[in-house]
Amino acid sequence: MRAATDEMLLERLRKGERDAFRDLYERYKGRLYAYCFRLLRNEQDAEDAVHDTFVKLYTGVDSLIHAGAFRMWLYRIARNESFMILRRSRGRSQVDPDECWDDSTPLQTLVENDTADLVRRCLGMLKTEYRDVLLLREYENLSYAEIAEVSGATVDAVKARIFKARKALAERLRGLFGERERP
Amino acid sequence: MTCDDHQQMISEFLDGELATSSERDLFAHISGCTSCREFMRSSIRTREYLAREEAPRVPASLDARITRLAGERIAVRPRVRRRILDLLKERVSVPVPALLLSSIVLALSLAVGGFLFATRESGRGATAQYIMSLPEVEVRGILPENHNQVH
Repeated sequence: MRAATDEMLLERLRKGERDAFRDLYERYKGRLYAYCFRLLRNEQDAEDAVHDTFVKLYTGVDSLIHAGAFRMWLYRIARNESFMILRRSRGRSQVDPDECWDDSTPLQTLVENDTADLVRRCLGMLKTEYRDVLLLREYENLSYAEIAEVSGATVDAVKARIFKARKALAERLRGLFGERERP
Repeated sequence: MTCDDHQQMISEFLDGELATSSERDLFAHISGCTSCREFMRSSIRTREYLAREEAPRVPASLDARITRLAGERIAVRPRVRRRILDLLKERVSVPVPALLLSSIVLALSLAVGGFLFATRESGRGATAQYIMSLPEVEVRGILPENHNQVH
């Protein structure tokens, strides 16, 4: 039997079918939790962000006019919830556009032999706004236009931000993936 | 173009967002530029490593919270109330020409109606003024018997 589409599940949810809500949760919980966890780097915060996202889905399903854009809408809510948690915990919301690294966690303090873990940790050390776009691109596989929709930025701003994030990562990983790298 | 420009193009190329027409120029530059080649290699390897990473496990406590949420929310949102709310939020689509025509007809009706009403009111006022200015004898001659009761 063919799985119900998001549109069908949303329609059922609008009619008050709780199974449809559970199905949507099962469909998206893994992706949203992974995204929020990688962004927030904290299990409890990620759980809260995903929970609040689904609360918003339930209470705001009637205002979601274009069911086709549901996935982006969900990511946008999860992103907003995550940023709200970050703002509450850090008391900061702005980022210097030229500053990519969070100085509180310098790479020098890492004692890490495992390359995959090193890459992941370097990504985790990027400032939130840069980490956010790279997560949406690399893990969630969203296009630039979709990331722009989720983050409320222009496509050009997304392009520039992804490039800066990659550039910053490449700088920190220089030597590890250089020309003389041995597989 | 600087190496930074080319590296931004590399970033777009890796994401499948670079225009095909720009690819030739990009690869011509990369073939002679160690720095851009290094950036490309590093970005590709980073992507490979990230792709291997396992997604974190969703905690059971989140599942439990969502299950509770679904039960609670449905209980406080009875169907009738929701249907009324749905009705209030119902949207209808009207073609722009029809909307304009309706607006013009409505505006004209209001204008004509207002004009007629004003004319009628001023006419009544003038008649009443004329009647009141007439001498008593003449008034009796033209007004009905119960005129005093009316006033």
